[in-house]
Amino acid sequence: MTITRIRGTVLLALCAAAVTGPAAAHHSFAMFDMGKTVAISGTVKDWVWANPHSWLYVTVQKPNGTTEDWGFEASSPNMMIRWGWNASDINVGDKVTVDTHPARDGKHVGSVYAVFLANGKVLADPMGRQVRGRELAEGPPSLPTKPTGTPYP
Amino acid sequence: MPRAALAVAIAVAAAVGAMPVHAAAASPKDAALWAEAAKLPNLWEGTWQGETALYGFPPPIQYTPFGEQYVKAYKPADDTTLANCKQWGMPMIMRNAAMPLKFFWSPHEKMISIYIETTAVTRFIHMDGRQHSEHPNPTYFGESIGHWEGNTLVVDSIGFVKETQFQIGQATPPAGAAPGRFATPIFAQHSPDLRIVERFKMLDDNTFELSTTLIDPKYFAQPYTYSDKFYRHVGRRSESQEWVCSDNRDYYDPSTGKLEYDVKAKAVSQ
Repeated sequence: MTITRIRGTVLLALCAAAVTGPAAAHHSFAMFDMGKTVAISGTVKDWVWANPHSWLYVTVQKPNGTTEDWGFEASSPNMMIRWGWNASDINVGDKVTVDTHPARDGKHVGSVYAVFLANGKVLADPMGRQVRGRELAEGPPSLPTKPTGTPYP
Repeated sequence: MPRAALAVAIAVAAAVGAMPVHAAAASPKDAALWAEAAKLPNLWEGTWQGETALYGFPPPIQYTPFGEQYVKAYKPADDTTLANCKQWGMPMIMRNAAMPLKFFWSPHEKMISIYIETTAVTRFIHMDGRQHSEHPNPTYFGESIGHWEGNTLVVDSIGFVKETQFQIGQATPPAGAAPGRFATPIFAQHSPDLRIVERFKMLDDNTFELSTTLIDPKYFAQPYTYSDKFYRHVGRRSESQEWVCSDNRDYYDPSTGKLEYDVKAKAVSQ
């Protein structure tokens, strides 16, 4: 039995009608500004690997010397595992950069789009992405090599 | 250890060591049941990832006058009562394809079990020719009775708990909604008469189409059907996993219709 992985822009275009982002759909995402990406750098304060969502808490050093804590909501660990994550990839004290869609209301909360680790590893999260169902099973269609968000602070 | 006790211990160990590791081979009856199972469409291998339009509900929809009125008056919330780790129940549980399904066949009971990883629940589909109960006890996934029509598994379910909601339509997103905003579902409390008929049709060795027909005379003047596709994946990455809602940090406030994020103290876990 062969399972064919189909790629290509033509097929993606055809599938566009079917793309409703099942990864995201139980949330409204009204809270996050999905059109805005910010690259937040800091030190891991807490890493919660649990259902229904993993949470990554990062302490950000502001230029004025103060610190600011951010909470980033990720997908279910079940989904993250299928996208190459392992709970042990992140530890308290690690330096990370998170590409995030931040909360519209200014709260220090965002969704995890991608995490860039100090060892060079990049982890993408299906949370909030418009991905096809099969991409949830097969892994991210592509991995960024560096953060794409506006750097913060 | 005293000599006599040691001798006994050695004798017992030898006897245990001589016992066969496996029980006798399957009885002819069991062998026949499993041989018969081999003829069924292969739903059992790997897991099935849905390509579902979670809230897709395309027209035409034929509502009752009550249904029309309900849809007109409906005010979409930021989220639904599906939040707070509440169990979705049928039919919605089959459309949240964040994670895959796995099918199991029990030949003695002639029963299909479907493990639904999103919220880690199992549905049981009875294929032993039974009829529906006159008064089925209310359940989240219904009393499901199935049969094969060629390569299509047909499942008929009734007897759902009051608490679950189901989608009966789509609202237009409000003006100024963020670009790429998903279709806004219209949810309703189903009537006690809700009946769901599913047809799992094998399209090829690794694909099935699930057509779900909703029959609820409170809202629909004619049954409404939507379809979703599921694709087989094999290998460790796609194995079924557990899912326990142990650390919910989002809270949906039904009184305000707002979803709050990262509010662990208020949020409901299991």
